[in-house]
Amino acid sequence: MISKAKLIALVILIFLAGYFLEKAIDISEDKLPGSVEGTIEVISEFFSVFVAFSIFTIAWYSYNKSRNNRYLFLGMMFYFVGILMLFHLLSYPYMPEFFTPNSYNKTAIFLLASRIILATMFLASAYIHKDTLSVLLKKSFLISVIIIFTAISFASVYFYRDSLFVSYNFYGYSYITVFFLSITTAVILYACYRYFKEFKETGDKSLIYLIYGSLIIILSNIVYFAFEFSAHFLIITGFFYIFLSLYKSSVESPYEKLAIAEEKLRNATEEKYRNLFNNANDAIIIHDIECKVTSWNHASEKIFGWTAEEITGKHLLRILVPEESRAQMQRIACNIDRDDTSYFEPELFRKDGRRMNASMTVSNLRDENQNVIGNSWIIKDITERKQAEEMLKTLSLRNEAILASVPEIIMEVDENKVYKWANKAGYQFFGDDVIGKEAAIYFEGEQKTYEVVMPLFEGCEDVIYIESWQRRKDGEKRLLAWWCRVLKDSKGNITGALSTARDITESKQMEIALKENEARLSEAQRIAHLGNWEWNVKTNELHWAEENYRVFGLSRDVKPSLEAFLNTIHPDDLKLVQKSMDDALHGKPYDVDMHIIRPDGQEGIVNAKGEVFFDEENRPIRMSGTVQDITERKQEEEKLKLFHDLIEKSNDAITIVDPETGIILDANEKASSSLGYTRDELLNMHVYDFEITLPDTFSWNEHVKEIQKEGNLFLEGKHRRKDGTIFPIEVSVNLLEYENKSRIVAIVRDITERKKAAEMSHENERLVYASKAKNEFLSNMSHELRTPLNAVIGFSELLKMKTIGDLNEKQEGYVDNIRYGGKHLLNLISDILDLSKIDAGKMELVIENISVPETLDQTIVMVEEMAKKSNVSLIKELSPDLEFIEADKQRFIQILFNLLSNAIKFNRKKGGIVTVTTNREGDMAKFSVSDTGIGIKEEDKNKLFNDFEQLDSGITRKYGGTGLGLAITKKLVELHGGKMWVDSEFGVGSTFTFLLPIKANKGEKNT
Amino acid sequence: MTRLLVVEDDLMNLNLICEILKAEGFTVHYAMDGIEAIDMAKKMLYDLILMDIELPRMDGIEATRIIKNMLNYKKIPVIALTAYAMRGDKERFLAAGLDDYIPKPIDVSDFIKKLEKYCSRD
Repeated sequence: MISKAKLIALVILIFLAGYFLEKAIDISEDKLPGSVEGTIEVISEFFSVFVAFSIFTIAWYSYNKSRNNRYLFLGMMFYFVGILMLFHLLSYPYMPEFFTPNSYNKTAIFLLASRIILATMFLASAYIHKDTLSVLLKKSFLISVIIIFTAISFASVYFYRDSLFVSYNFYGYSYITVFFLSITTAVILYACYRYFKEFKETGDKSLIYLIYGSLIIILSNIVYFAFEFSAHFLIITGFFYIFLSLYKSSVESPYEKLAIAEEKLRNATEEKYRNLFNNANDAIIIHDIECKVTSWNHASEKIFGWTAEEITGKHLLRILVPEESRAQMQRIACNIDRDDTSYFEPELFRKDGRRMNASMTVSNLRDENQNVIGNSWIIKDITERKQAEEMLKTLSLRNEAILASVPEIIMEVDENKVYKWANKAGYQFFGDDVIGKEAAIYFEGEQKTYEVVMPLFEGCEDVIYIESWQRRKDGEKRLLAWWCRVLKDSKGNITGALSTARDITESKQMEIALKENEARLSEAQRIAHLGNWEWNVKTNELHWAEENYRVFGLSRDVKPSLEAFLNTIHPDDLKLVQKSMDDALHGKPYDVDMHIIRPDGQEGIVNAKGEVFFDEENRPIRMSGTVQDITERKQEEEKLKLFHDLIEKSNDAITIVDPETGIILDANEKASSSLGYTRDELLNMHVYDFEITLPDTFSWNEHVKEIQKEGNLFLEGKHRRKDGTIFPIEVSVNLLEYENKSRIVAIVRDITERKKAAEMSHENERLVYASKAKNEFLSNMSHELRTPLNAVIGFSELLKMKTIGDLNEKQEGYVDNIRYGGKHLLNLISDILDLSKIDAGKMELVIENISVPETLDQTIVMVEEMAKKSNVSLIKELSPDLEFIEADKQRFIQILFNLLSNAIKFNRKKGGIVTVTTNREGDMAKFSVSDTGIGIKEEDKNKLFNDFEQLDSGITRKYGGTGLGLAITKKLVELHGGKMWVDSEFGVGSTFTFLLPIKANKGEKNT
Repeated sequence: MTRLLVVEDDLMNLNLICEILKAEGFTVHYAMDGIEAIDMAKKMLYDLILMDIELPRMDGIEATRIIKNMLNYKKIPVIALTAYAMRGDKERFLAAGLDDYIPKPIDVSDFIKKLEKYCSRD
């Protein structure tokens, strides 16, 4: 970086140099070839062309590394400028002819062209950055552009005509030229401004040279017309600065960056080594040629106890190495004339005086000139490793001793199954000559041992168990159980196998016997559905037999446990089982039936029995016992019980009879109860003893034959009880054959009730039918009688009303008779119907709560007229206790009316008194009607209430009435659930009394 | 002028009823069975119908049901005049839709009083 002052000074110096050179040489207007001024001009122009091409070259070739499009573009620009400047130089009139005749005009045109190209492209370059227009700015493309441009330039020279463009006239440069040059100056100035702005933003120092260069070019343009030499020098200077800029950015700056990067890298590496040195786990010690410590890392401090300050500069051997090995160490560790790295394991001192085993690596340390400056020691504390090795050695000896002395046979084979090593037991079994023999020599019988152990030698398995028969040295055949373990060397290659073997001949025989026994037991248990179990009370371990799985329906995966057992128990029985177990643990016997639910949902019944064993302190130790599936047995039992109950509780008498003798072998409860004999009495009785309908010709054997023929007989008969009573029966007789015996089963049913019911139902049917017919008959009769009566009574009344004319006295008397006769007939019909209805049980009462005084008054109103006519006084004597009764109101009135009208009717001619009395007698209402009439003779009292019975035939004529009144009245009272009677004294009077229940009974509503 | 329809199959009884009613000043038409009664009721609107129950071809209860279903007879009284005089018969007829019940044999003066009661209601 050069200062501005220096630059300005340089520019002024160059300017002055040009100025004075120009002054010194008298420049003529027309420079001639070979003149001093022309030569200087040519040289200076040539120099600027050289610089321009240099710029192109450096830009072009540094592009491969810099990849800076701007400088490539600038390089291209300077190629163009260089070409044009060259043509400008070659076109001076004093130069040899350049294709076409040279002239000042021609040279000025090329100068102008070079300046325009310079200005425009320089401005363009301000907008091109490192990677702008990457597609276009490629060398291949630019080469074509360069070639085309060069060709155009040559063409323009070749076809040049002075008349085409006037850039230079008699007075010097034309105005157009000056104008264009001014414009280019302005453009370059503006480009400078752009670059300056960019420099402000990025601080790229190469730009400042570019700016300086361009400023100097501007200056050269300005002074060109006045001071030509200075301008030439200045332009060279300007180009040089631009060249510098490119050099700085493309050549110098990369080297600077590289230097910085290298510096950083070096620092980092050093730091890394320092870290390594300080943080290494091994002690790293460096000593100089005099064996004095120069470096001492943290690990060294830790291992030896000395700090770096304490030990630096001290003699290593004297401090670390014990007296006895110092001389040796001096020779090997501190020897600096070595080429290689040495390793050894000396004993060294710590600061606290303890010795340690160390592993140590020593190597030379040299300076840049390969002169030895000392040694580095890398030391590891291997005390522990040494101890471990020592221990291993001891152990290995001990192991060998153990292996030799164990009773198990231990044999080692190589990869070819040849015995390599054997312990004492091995020699004893196979003989002293076993080593070097192949294992198969000792095999007894055909065996697959080699196949089985194959994976061991193939590296698939580490340990294999095998049982194989081997021949002992005494020739006996023994079964050995082998554990074969693979042997590998340190690289992991299989070298053979180490096998331990035990003679299991006897235990195997026992095992087989045991297994057979177990199988037999298991078979027995399977048949009996019985499994055994043993429960360790203390550890809660439970063992059970194979059969237990089947009994409880558990899968083989289930581990025997108390929970697994309890889980299968039906919830209803769980408490029972737990209690039984508790009891058992307290010494009670354990024998319990339980319902279980198997995991598949099937239910079953299991019987569990067990025994508890106690220790000396009477604590339970273990419990063992059996479980048995008794589902089927229970079901059978239940079925049997069900059948037994069915038979016992049957409502039919069932007896089993011996077909040969006819003697009863068994009978159910009903059989004994229906016949009145105890069961014991029944057994051994004969069928004849109670069956009474058997004909005299009855033969038991014939009977049995018939049963055998038919298989089943269905008979009716009669049985006699023990008390002599007889009842009808029906019997179903079957012949059963079982277990080579035949038995007759007689099912006897008492059909007394059925017979009775059948009879009754028949009778009922008849009665119902009769009653219905009677009812219809009564109803029709009533209707048919009333229809003509209506005409009789109606017409007689019509006559009596005299609407169709007067009647004489006699006629009126006849009409009265007709009417009276009709009315009497009507009463008679009503009474007969009532009676019939009562007798048929068809009289229906409509029970309601009725007021006694009111109803009595209503009835009295009905008879008042009649009483007055007969001169009879009516007296009421009502008890206040009797207000209401429940009765059929119409019928109640009918009863009272009948009694009252009778009492009035049967009074004496001169008149009398009729008294009505009501009373309450408990639940009954008592009504009495007394008269002071003729009375009734004692012997007539019974006839009084009979149908159609008046006491003497004269009465009807005398008193009227149908003679049915009292009969109906009494029946109505009785229909209400009451009763009626008469007290009378002949010639004094009669009292008719009836009782009615105050509360009607439901049952008496419809009698 | 009150118009009555008497439905009665027994000539003697029909004669009696008609005599009584005519004597009382009613206009009296008669039918001898249920179907005839319905036909007559269709032809003319009567102020009151006396209906025997036991009738040939169609009984009084059925005839009453049909007549009562005729729009203009909804409020016309139909009175049973029948020899069915057992207990429960009255209730049976009233339930069947008849408006009143006069058992045979009739008491002439009571009969007239009842009819006058119905006719003065109009």
